This record gives sequence, C-alpha cells and structure tokens, in this order.
Amino acid sequence: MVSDRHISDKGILNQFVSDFVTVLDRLRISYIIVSGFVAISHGRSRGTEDVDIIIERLSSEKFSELNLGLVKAGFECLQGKNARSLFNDYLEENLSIRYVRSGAFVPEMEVKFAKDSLDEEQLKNKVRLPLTGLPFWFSSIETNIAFKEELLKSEKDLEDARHLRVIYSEKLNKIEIKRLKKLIQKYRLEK
Amino acid sequence: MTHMDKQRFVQIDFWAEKCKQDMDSCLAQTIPFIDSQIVSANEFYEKLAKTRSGKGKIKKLKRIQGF
Repeated sequence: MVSDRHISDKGILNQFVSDFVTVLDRLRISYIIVSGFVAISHGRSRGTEDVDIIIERLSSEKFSELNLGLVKAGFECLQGKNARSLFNDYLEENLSIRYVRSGAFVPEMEVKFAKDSLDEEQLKNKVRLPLTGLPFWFSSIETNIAFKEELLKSEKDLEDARHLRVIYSEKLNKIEIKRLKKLIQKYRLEK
Repeated sequence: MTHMDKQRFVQIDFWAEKCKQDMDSCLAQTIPFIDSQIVSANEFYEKLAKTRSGKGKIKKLKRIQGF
C-alpha cells in the first residue's frame, strides 16, 4: 500500500531531485535539469522513471568528490562503484551514468557531462522556473521544446512540448525555438 | 494526424490550460499520482528480486552491473 511509505508533501520525485542537487550545489557544480521532469514539474500528468541532468565537464578528481558526496547522501550509481571507471568509461565517453537512492530501483537520476557547445549554451543560460515552485536550475523552456520537437520526437516528448507550449503561450520566444532547432540540426543530427 | 491523435491533443491542451490557470491545484493532483507510480514500481522490483531469476531480470531491465 502506498500509505505504508513516507511520501512528503513535496513528493518523492521532487525530494529525490532536491537531495541530489543539494550535493551539486555544495560542490559548486553547475547543472541543468532537462526534458521530462521539466514538463512534469509544470503539471504534466504522466509517469517517469528518470530525471535527466546535464552537469559541467569535471576533472576526474572533482567527479570522484561528487561521487563520494552522492554516496554519503544515500545515492548509489547503477553502473558501479568505481569513480575512476565511471569517469573514464562513461562520462568521458559522453555516456550517462544513473544514480538511485541506495536500495531503491526508481527514480533514477541520469547524469551526463555537457558534450558540445549546445549543452554549454544551455548551462550558461540556465533558468529558475518560478511556476514550478521548485528551487532548481532548468534549461530554458524554449530549449526543452526545441529538443523534444526536433530531436527526441517520441509521442511522449511531443506531448510534453505541446503541454509546455500551452503553459507558456504568451511568453515563448518562437524565434529562439527556431534558432535552437537549427543548432540541434547542426550539432546532433548532421553528424 | 489521426482522429486518436487529435483527441489526445485536445486532452493535453485541456489539462495544460488547467495547469496554466491554477498550477498549485494541478500539481496537488499529479504529485501523488507520480509518487504512487514510483512506490508501485519499487514494490514490484522488490518482489521481482525475490523470485528465482529475478535479480538477473532486473539487471537486464535496468542495465545494472554487479547487482
């Protein structure tokens, strides 16, 4: 039964993200939350098993410090415990690693390094989204829409984009979405 | 666009408009839904882990090393 477990007012998913980014903030590591969680934190009614986060590129030593901080905060990495291996075999290869709370299976935090100037730009232009009531850094709404419509394109992603378009209908910078879609073409689709 | 797609988009637009008007009350409905999905998924994985080849299946499902 659901009531057998503690569910905070904030919600399990929000608390999970909050605990994770607290470690990043403490280590002064720049991050952005992207994709599905952005739509969900704007009221989109759908399930999810993971939260996608992009972090600035770190040295091996700094990543070891991050991994240790996350372990101390009660997270474990599904890909293994060896920080050097996680760094060399995954993050440096632009592959994601996934953290869960120790002993749990979901949700997962899917962590990636910023891999190109498109990601660097997203990190540089990170935003708070007051409508969500959450104190996290997100990539811009325009960026999320552009990625979902131009690159990801699954039914779920297109629905997320549509939801965000309605919510921000008066505020959206449509020229910026077009510009971002061109960049996505250049950096992610023409390679 | 199929009739089903159109219907789905009508539903998405309807809910998004509601969120736009009153985000707090919409989140008060969606957060428990998402939480219960997470709780159910963890309960399922815990049960699966106790079955004979459950751990191997979870390892495959979640691409876990050294589970």
